[in-house]
Amino acid sequence: MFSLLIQLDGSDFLASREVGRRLRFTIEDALKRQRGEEIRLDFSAVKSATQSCMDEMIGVLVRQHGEIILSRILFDNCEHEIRTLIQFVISDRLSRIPAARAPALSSAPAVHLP
Amino acid sequence: MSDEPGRPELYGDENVAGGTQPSDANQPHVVTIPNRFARDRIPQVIANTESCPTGCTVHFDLRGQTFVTPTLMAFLCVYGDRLQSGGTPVCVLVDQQLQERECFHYLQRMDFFRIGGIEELDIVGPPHLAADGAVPLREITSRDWPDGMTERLSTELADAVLDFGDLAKSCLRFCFGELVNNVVQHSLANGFACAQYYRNADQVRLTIADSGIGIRRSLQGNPQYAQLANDGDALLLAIKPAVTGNPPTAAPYDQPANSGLGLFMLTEISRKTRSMLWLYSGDAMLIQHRDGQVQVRQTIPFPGTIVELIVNAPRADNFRLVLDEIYQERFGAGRPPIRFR
Repeated sequence: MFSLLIQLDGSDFLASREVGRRLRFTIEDALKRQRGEEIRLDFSAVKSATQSCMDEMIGVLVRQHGEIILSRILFDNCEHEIRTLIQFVISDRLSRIPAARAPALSSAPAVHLP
Repeated sequence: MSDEPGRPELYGDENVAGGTQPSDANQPHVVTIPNRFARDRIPQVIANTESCPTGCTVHFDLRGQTFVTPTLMAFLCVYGDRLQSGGTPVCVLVDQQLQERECFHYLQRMDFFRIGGIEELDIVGPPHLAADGAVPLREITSRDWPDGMTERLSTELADAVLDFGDLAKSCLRFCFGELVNNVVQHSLANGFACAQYYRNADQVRLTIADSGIGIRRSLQGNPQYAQLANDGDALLLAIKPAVTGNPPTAAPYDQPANSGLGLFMLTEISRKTRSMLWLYSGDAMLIQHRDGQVQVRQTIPFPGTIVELIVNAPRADNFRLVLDEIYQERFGAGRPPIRFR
């Protein structure tokens, strides 16, 4: 599986939308190059983040591609707060996608791979 | 005195009396800055300043200061900047006594004179020996804001507060980062930020002030809120979820698209950590008290936005739980199909 280390030089904190946007482009590029394969986003270098940055990186990705894009992404090594923020921004963006474009949120808990 | 046009001057004439002086165009207009300057004093200072006749130089009189707050520094920088760009020269009044006080050296240590572009006098007296953490005054630019600077400043704040645990530091970085993002993205102008940790009270005061378009005009960028009647309504709306002046439907995919959750989350974090949040934009002030009660009142217009956040350190250590609660309250028990490992 292709792995992408989510990282900002010199900081373990992701704050601005601009940084989030750049990281989103990198993720999209990886998804394109892997042609339908799953990719692993490694958050081991990220200790904390803002909602704005996570939304720009992950939320906008889901807004653009729909919930289906989540089947190709494995979020790895996330701190508890990062995990909550990822859930937050994805839930928020999915809640705004019209029902015709995306299925309703699953009531099942998050899937944890072994 | 400074030779640079448009640069505020540090002025030490002890013969100029304190208080707001009746002035004409030939005399300086002296505005006394109250000691232990708190947010509630800002409208009065604006009112005293606005009565300055056209062409007059405004002198902000700091001579009575013994204790200086981040709010004073951020406010004076942004307001002085605004006055000067409108053609009103600004000076800061000091005297020998002030220079011998610790608070003068605190102003220096916080870069007040350098960031405010104020010429410094030769300094006498003892250096300021504050042991508590602080982030000196920083200018935030809405144009050409350096990549990674928000992260660096937020981390500088967290690192300065040695007594905070990791989660409380994450909370601080989150709040400061979101506030800086707001200025960079929404104000369309420059701003000033600084922060101070007070060990006795175990709290951090963050103040960010900008001379931008204000919250009402920012929200009016969204057609849904184009008819917003007043600044008080705009402030109450801005702290609700999914309210933004830059809605995703209007933003091209390659441009930042807001979700309208930044200020909402700040408000929620503030409420759940029993911190205090204060917003001043246009002619309205909003305060969310430590018990979560929100009050809005009309006041003298401020040309921009000022935010003060007083973070309660022990409660900020619950940041993990706080984020979980905010998620639960907004989205319930349901989870999107996200795969974590």
